[in-house]
Amino acid sequence: MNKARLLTLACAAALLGAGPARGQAPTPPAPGAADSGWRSSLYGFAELDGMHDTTQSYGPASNNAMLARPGTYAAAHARSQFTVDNSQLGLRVAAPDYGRLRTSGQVEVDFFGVQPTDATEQTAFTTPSIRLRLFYVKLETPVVDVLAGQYHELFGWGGAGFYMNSVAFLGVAGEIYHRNPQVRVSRTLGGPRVRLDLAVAAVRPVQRDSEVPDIEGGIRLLWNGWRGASAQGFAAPDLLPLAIGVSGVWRRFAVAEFLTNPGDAKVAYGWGLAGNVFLPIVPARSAGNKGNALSVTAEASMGTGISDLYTGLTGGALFPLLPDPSGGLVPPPLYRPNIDSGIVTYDANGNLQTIDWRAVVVGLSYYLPIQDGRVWLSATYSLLRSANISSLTPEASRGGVFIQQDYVDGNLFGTVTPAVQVGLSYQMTHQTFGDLPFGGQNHPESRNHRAEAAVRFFF
Amino acid sequence: MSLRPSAAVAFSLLSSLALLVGAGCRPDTSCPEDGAPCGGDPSGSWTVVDACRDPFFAQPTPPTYQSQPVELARQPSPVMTSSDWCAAILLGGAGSTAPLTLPHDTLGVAGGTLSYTSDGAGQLTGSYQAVIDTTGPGSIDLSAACLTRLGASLTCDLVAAALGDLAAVMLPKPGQPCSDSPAEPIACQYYFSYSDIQCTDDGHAGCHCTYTVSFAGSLNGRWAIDGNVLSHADASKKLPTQADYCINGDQMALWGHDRTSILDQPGIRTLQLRRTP
Repeated sequence: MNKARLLTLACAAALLGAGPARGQAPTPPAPGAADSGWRSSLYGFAELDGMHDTTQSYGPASNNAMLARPGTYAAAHARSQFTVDNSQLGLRVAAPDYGRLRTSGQVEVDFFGVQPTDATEQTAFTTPSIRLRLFYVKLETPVVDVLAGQYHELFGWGGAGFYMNSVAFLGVAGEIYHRNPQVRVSRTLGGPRVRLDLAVAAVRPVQRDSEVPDIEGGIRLLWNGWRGASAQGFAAPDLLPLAIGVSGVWRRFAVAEFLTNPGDAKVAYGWGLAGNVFLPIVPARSAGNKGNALSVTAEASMGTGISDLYTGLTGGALFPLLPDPSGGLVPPPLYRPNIDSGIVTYDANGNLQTIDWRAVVVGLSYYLPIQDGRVWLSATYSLLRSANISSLTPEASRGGVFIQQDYVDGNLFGTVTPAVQVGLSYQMTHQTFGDLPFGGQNHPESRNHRAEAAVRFFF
Repeated sequence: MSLRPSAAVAFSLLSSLALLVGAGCRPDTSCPEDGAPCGGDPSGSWTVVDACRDPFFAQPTPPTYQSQPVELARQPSPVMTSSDWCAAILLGGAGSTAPLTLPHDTLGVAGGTLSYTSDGAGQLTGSYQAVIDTTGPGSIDLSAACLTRLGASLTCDLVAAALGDLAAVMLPKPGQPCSDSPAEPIACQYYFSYSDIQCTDDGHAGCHCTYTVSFAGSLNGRWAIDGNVLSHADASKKLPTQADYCINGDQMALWGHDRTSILDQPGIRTLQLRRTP
């Protein structure tokens, strides 16, 4: 075992604090020992993305961010960016089996971390901050599997093969894509051909002051006899079985009353339902030859008070302004909400309301019958809509929210070598705002066209 | 197996090409410059016959923070907010002094006049006076909480009457009556006025009120010509604005220079004018 490997194992042991429970035998070998039985793999990729936008609305990731309104400087001028922030580094570790218990863990980071507020453009792009993506331990037992740590949301069956295949950074517009600290218990039923996954998770509450963890649950059916080619985002393609997933989330909100000095909290509840499908229309021949494989990935979701589960989505929703009857109270009456903006708000009667969203995302990927399918095409369409974000925003501010978002992309991928992948993408985002200017019936609309190219080196 | 080197090179070139093509994409423009600047002598009076305005929007300035520090010592910055559900209306409050700011979306250009007076024959400078009339509908849902928060109990008819009274007494200067006509003194022509105020029961103990909003921006100052660019230096010492222009017979077209707003009126990109006989 070389020096780097030993170092990796030592790091893994330190990170996971692995070891047997007290009073149990046999004691596994210490991690780091040459014959310890610990297994680890360092993985990651270096990625460069270059993108050109026709507006100045987005940073490197577009996701569900607000577009600049028509007529503004940002809407009328273009932008080009190069970034390596999507590069990743990860470590997978598996401890020696302990009786019938199997323990593993994973750490994964990228470089989309929070930047200091005074970061310049240069420092933001050349000295990015590390962001924790995954950090969890998984314990597999003969009865159930337990995952504890930060992982993809169970809502939308994140990380389970339902993500869209796109050069665009995930989650694409309208797609449920989020990670959270959680404790998940899952159970797999069935055999090698058909498998049923059941899972339930207690997830970090969306609002810590709600006191109650979010509860998520899901059921997923997989048919291993029908496998198609799938790539998650800009990842390397793999063979995945036909899969159908249904999941839900329930959460509680307890938000400080809409007063300068709140008394009791106002309580509301949020919920969400999602259906996912991965359907290989033309299955892949093998892992080494995906030529002519055609697959569809789709997701439909709806719910209320769940905007945080769509990447970067607020729709522009904000809490209203506290009234100032004198027009100049000193100090000014300030409301300090104890929850992130965009999830809930207060209506005109001071009632706490959750903001509704529903979305559908459909992706299609086709592997060309040349070079054993190492060149492939994909396309994504999504529609995201809120039925109440406008009515829950005071009239004077409705121009600052969007009520609908359409998104479409087209992508061309190629495997240059087994370790190098390139991609080209065209992405169009269209948003409809909540106001009605000029006394008409047409809402203002903005569009952004993005051309993106990416190269990724896997290691 | 991987792509042949030639295919890899082709793919890389294609990637670079895609970015270059992407760089050639242009943003959508809602008010394009539909003509070529040609200059001419603007002296005389002109009437606005057509205009293009972008759907300008800005979050209302919170009256809470006017003339006050937003950040208090040892307090975190307040989060961004939208606006007051009750539009800061003081219904039934004794000694109501707050300005009436009923919400509305971007107003359309309804007309206007521009008058240019030259400093002398052949001079490329002079003075100007402009009135840009904008109008549009507005509405507000005044909830039961808004109607009762100041201790009053109002019917929707009373609300409409109260709003009408508030609108009627809004004067740009004390003792200066205004009727919102472009022919009025300049002091009257730079404020919002509300008319046709009607309120109906919304079925939830609140009122749905509709009204018509008018804004007549009356501007004056000095003008100058440099090539095909007409500069307006507002007398109120705002920064000068520039417009590309072309006079063809009794028609004049103004386009905001470099897509700026004409006469500093937010979102107004183009004006088509006809010479007033």
